[in-house]
Formats: sequence, structure tokens, C-alpha cells
Amino acid sequence: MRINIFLLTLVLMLGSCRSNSSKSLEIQQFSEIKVSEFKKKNVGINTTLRFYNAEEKTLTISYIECDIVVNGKDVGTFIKKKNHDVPAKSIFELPIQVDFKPENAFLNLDYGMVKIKSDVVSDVSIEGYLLSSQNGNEEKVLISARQAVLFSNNKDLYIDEAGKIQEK
Amino acid sequence: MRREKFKKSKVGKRLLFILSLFFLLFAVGNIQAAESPEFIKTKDWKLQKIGTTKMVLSCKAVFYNPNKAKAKLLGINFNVLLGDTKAGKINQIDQKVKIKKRQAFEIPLRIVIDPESNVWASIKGILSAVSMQDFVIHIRGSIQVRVLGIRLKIPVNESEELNLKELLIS
Repeated sequence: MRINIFLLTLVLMLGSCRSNSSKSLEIQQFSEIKVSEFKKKNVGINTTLRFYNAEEKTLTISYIECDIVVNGKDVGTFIKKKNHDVPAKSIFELPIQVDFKPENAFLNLDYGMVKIKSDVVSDVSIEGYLLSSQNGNEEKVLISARQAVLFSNNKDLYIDEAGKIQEK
Repeated sequence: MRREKFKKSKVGKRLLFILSLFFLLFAVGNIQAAESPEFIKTKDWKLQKIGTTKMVLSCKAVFYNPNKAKAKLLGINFNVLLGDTKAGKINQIDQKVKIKKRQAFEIPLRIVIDPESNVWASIKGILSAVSMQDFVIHIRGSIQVRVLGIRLKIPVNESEELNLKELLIS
């Protein structure tokens, strides 16, 4: 009898562990990376991280850390240290904004002089992780995005599916 | 003359007392409100130069300012150790660093492995032995920032495993 109770307890414990270790954040995606500012002294990009809490309970996101790379050059780090409660079966959106100096990513040395490139399509990648917790169990979730982004002040320009600059 | 009379009068004394109290409360409030920025990591390690006399590495030290106010970087003071050997010092920054409220900030570091005394000879030995393997570089020291008028010291004790071959490729 005692052995049976012990085995039952063990099975229940293992079962509860299994349910806790399941992935609670089902969908993660970044919206289109937009250029908020493109000036000689400062470049600003922003996007929104969107994910879905597939669990039946509220989970808490306590920390987000992302490295932003433009044209293969590291331009900055985004860190958010704040508790965000995500209700069960709901979508959570977190805006991400990073400012950097244009010379860190857009230097053109073709003419033997330093010149900041304008109207350029660049490869922007965002790599990092977030920490989410539920019932005291912390989970590290990797986040990643890579997009071709048009850096320009001309609002009539856009990039086509092939990644080339086109005029409206 | 009038100022002296005002200071000696009862109203003047009370006013001075209240003003001092306000100043004291403001100062104490600032001390409690100012949180120390936090060291997060080092990243973007690059080998800038390598020769027979010296080696120059660069990286970025990432910190997070949790305060609702901007901060000012006052100085940095790091010792660089290659394995167990003291290899150099960093106490100057190449660029102006802006520390915005509640945001991460990066300090670019230029690490010159000193060719002084016998250190370079021992480092050359280490390098020839580890050129194809990983080696550990330690950055120990602190940065000083001013937040809400309060001077704060943030300790850094970071070890990074690097591979010379990978650094040369990147």
C-alpha cells in the first residue's frame, strides 16, 4: 500500500514537472522594422515584438535583451527590465526602439573620404532573449528577426520583394 | 544691512530652517532614488592589430541605467589580465558615451596589451601556445557615473573566452 502511494506521488510529481516545462510562449514575431529617424548625427529604428501566451494562466515577462546588428555591424543593445503580466490566451506587444550613430553602420569610403550613405537597403538583425516566469518557474526564450530595411528620408521610395529600391 | 536684519528676525530664521529642511529632503530623496547602473556583458570583440611588439583588441561593455534620469560617465578604470598575467590598463574612452534614462548604454573599450617589462614576453608565449585554442581575458575594475547629482561606482569583473583564430576571421 505504502509503495503504491509512493509511486502515485512520484507519477503526479513527474506529471506536474512535464506540464511546467512546456513552451508557454507560442508565437513570437517582429513587426516590420521601421526607420524613425535618419539624420547625420542619429539613426533611430523601431519595431514591435509580438507573442502569444498559449497557457491557461497569466505569465510574467521580467527581462528582455536584444543586440541590434546593421550591415553586420553591432550598433546597440536594447534592454527592458520591467515586469509585464501577459494574461492567459492573449497577445502581448512590446515596442523596441534603438538609436545609433550612422557612422557605425553606413560608412562609404569609396571616395577616399568619410561619407554617410543615404537611400540604402541594409540587413538588420535583432537577436536576443526574454525571461518569462509562471508559478515561480523561469523560462529563457530566444528571440530573433532579420529584415531588409530601407534607410532613407525620401518617403516616395520603397523596397520591392527582390530587395531593390523602387519609386512609388 | 537689511539682509542681516532679516536673517536675525524670527521669520527669517524659520524660513532658513524650512529651506534647509527642503534641501536635506531633496538630497536624501535623490540618494534613495538613484539606482546604480548594472554591468550586463561585453560583446563585439575584435582583434584590431597584432604584431611582434603588441596586440590591440576592442570590445563594447554593455551597462543598463535603471534610473528615470540621464547619467554622465565620469571615468573608467580597468585592469586587463590575460590568463593570470596583468596585460594592460584601460582608463580612457574613445567616444562620448550618452547614458539615457532606463536604457542600455555601451562603452567602447580599446585594449592595448602592454609591451612593457617582461609581460609581453610571457604573453607572446601564451599567445603562441593558445593561438589555435581558446584563451581567457579578464577585465577587472569599475566605471564611475553621476546620476541625479550622486557619484556612483559600478564594479566590473568579466571573463571572456576568446579564440585568436576566430577573432582574425571576424
